[in-house]
Amino acid sequence: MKTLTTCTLAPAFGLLIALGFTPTAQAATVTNHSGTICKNYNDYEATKIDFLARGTQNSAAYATQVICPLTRAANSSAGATAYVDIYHYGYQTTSCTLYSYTNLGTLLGSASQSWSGSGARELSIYLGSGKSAAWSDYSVLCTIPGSTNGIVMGVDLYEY
Amino acid sequence: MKLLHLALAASVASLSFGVYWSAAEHRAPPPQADRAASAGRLAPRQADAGRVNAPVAVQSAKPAVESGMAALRREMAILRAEVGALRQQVATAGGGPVDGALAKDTRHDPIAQAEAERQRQEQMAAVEANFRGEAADRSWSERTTATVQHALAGQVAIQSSLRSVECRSSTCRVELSGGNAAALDKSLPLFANRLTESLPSVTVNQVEDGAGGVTTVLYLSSEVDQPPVDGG
Repeated sequence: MKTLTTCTLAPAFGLLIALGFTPTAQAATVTNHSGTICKNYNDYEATKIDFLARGTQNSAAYATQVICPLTRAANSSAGATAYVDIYHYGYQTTSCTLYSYTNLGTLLGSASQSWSGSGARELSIYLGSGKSAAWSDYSVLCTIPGSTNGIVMGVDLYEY
Repeated sequence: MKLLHLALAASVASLSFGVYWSAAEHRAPPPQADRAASAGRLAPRQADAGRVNAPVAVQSAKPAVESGMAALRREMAILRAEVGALRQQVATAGGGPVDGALAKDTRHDPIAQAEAERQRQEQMAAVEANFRGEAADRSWSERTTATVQHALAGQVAIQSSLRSVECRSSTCRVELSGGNAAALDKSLPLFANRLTESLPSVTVNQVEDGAGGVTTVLYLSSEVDQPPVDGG
């Protein structure tokens, strides 16, 4: 039986390859965003969020949130990873959460990561396939340090 | 679309088998000594003896092999034409990648939406079943429930619609219903962000309750999803 299967399928697959017919491969896509896409999450803090050429920072005396809308380049439902590039002046903490909402506004899920430390760091936040849909919208909410002690420099989206 | 791909694959496979079968029929059997030698049944010397006779057998099989090759070439040409036609058919039917940038826009297709919702509810039933089947760890449960309550501090919209908080050993189930939906929309992301350290992964099920309201169930997990190996 095994021999028969091998005899039957081997030439078939060989022929498929010879004819250049391969199954559709799903290519991952990457979309890079400057951190300057991030803006105040709370309306009363519009004047507290400051922009640099290399990103967004918080000039309030306390930590607060910025929201970063992400552009999708594909409509796979296999999930995505958001890479958030941050910079801390001194020992600080930044927490970021990636959200997925359907095109009808239903929240599907979220994934979070935080980092405490000094200098540059990349957060890697993976949102699994059960929390993503072909047409869901992604955004990242970050709580960033106050007193311009932290910068969101970039948010890159890797879609599977 | 999948059916079309399957039909394409099946037809190519069956045609290939036909080609292979006809080629096998035309192929001359290898000399007995070679077959035996390759099977390791003859001593090297006996195998050498077999090779002496081999050209004779090959010589006699040559016309059959040539006619077999010609038949193969003809069938290859037919197959190429058929695969080309099927490719055209797949492309015309909108058969680009199922996922990816070229996928068909199903956002305004009620049937596709209903199917997506059905699949989603199946997933959510599995998530609920997993939670119900999760072992209870009293220590973790008490500690994490306190963390959740702490994250709720100041979140008036969530507190006013909170129906239950239940933690097991790695997951907490938070049920919300009623209250100010707009305020809840604003507060939920903050709530999840506050729990980054202890419950970084959240799966949400939002269903209409039949009375014009929405019931939201959050499954907050301490376990982080792992991305596919080839990603990143």
